[in-house]
Amino acid sequence: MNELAKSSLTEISRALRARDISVRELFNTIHTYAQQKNTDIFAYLELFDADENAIAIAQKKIDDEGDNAPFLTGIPIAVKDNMLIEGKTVSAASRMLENYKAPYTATVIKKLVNDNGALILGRTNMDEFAMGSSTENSAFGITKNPHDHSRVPGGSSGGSAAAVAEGAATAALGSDTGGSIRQPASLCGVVGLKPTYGAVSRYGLIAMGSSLDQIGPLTKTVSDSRVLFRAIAGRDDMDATTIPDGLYPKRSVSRNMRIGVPYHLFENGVDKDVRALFDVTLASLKKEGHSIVPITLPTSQYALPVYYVIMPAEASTNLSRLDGMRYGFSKPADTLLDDYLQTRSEGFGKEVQRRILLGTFVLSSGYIDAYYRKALRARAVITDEYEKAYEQVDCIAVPTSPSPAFHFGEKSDPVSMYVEDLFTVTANLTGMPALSVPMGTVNRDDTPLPIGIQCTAPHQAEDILFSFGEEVEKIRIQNQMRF
Amino acid sequence: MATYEDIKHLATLARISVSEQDLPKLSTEFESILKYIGQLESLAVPESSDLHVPPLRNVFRDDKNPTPSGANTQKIINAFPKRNGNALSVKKIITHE
Repeated sequence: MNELAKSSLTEISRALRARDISVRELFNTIHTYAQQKNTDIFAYLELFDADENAIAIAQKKIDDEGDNAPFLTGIPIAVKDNMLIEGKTVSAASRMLENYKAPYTATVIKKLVNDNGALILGRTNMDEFAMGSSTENSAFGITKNPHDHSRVPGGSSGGSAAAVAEGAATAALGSDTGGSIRQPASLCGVVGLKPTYGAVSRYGLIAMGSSLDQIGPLTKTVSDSRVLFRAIAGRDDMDATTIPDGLYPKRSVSRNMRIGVPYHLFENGVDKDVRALFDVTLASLKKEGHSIVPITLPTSQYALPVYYVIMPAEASTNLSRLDGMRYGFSKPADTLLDDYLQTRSEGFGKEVQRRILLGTFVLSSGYIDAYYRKALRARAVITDEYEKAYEQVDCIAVPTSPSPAFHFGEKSDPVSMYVEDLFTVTANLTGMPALSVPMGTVNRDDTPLPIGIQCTAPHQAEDILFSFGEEVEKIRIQNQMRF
Repeated sequence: MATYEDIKHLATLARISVSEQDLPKLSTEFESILKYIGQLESLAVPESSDLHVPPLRNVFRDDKNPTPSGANTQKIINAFPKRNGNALSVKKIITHE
């Protein structure tokens, strides 16, 4: 792999300031490398041409401000194809928006580009409207896992995760509704953060589940994750759900963490070697002076069914705006009703249609109490249980995904695919932040495949996650595990 | 509940047309998803446990910095699938018959 492609954001940032490389050299190198690799892995739906103006501004910023320039100045970043950049296509990997040009720019992009001088490389592949855990649901083709091309990169931010793992982007943005940043991060061996609900503005993000969605970074290291998170976080007048600093009680980061582990949730469905690697990682954390505290979160075993009621309810509502009338794909037929039916049936892929039907069902008269309202109450109980657990622990650790990357087509039954989100959906239901960090590899068909450990912390306690993540990185190096 | 009739009814509500040939597969898949989320039935949540009042609520902002009139009009019009001048063109929904 190309040296620059391997380097972390922090390393490249240093090289730019030391004038070891210019912004132009960096962009050209990563861009060319991404182009070459895209024929293999198809991480990008589109790689943008170099923005001469942005490159010049970034270089000037580094020349003028030196070490005071933001860390992200001149850094090439990939963006999931559900965030708007004015004038560029934004398709959410759907036929429905195949030719849709964004009329305005998302707040996260403005922060990266205008405030920090970062460069946007292109838009990455994803499951259609972020619905899926393998990126197989993209209307435009599959993305391959850089570690084994016969396997999926995870999803729905699979393109972003694969791009970072391959070195085809220095860092990337994804979005996470039920694990869509953390699960692909786990399967591709990169670091993925789902921030606290409301920490990052969603103005200009194509909505899926509005009470669950968050934008977050996919990076090579934990310190890169911190840099990118800080750059995109903050209150935004354009998104009323964004939260001010200090909305939740402040949590201190202690040198010796109390790490809660809900062992009872692993009884079914976690691969043996994933569990073994998780236990080894915990043992090493203990050796470093942290304590491991078994905890119980009784209602969490229902988190996935709760999620698969709330998410489709919200997604079907959000997607009702796409009817071929005002923008996007439009299929004219005989009557207005037929226009709607044809447009939505041809514009949406199978999984999206399934979830729209499911959402319509759980919200329909006669079923809304048994499903939707029950799920909302269960969500509150799950959140209470987490809050109670945080009275005795600083954070809670689980394997990010129950198994490593699987083969294309292996999970054709929808429920088997949904189970991929077993350990990730809870953080979206509670709104708490969660980080996935690679903990090592497990072998499948003699190929080492990465797998992540996930840590969750109380609202706005991202700093606890970053220190946890850095501990795991240290341990991985000590134990000489590659990923 | 996932008879063909049920699926067709939901599809009508959701403004999606499901072809006859897709019905059997969709119905089977739906059945297994419903079985999965049906686990909720066995979960006892106290009636008193209701929605949390979020710490952030009633978010208002000052009525200032309005977008200049017409600043976005052309961009929105350009996205119309069908237009008549600057008007969005749609089918007639009321007939005299």
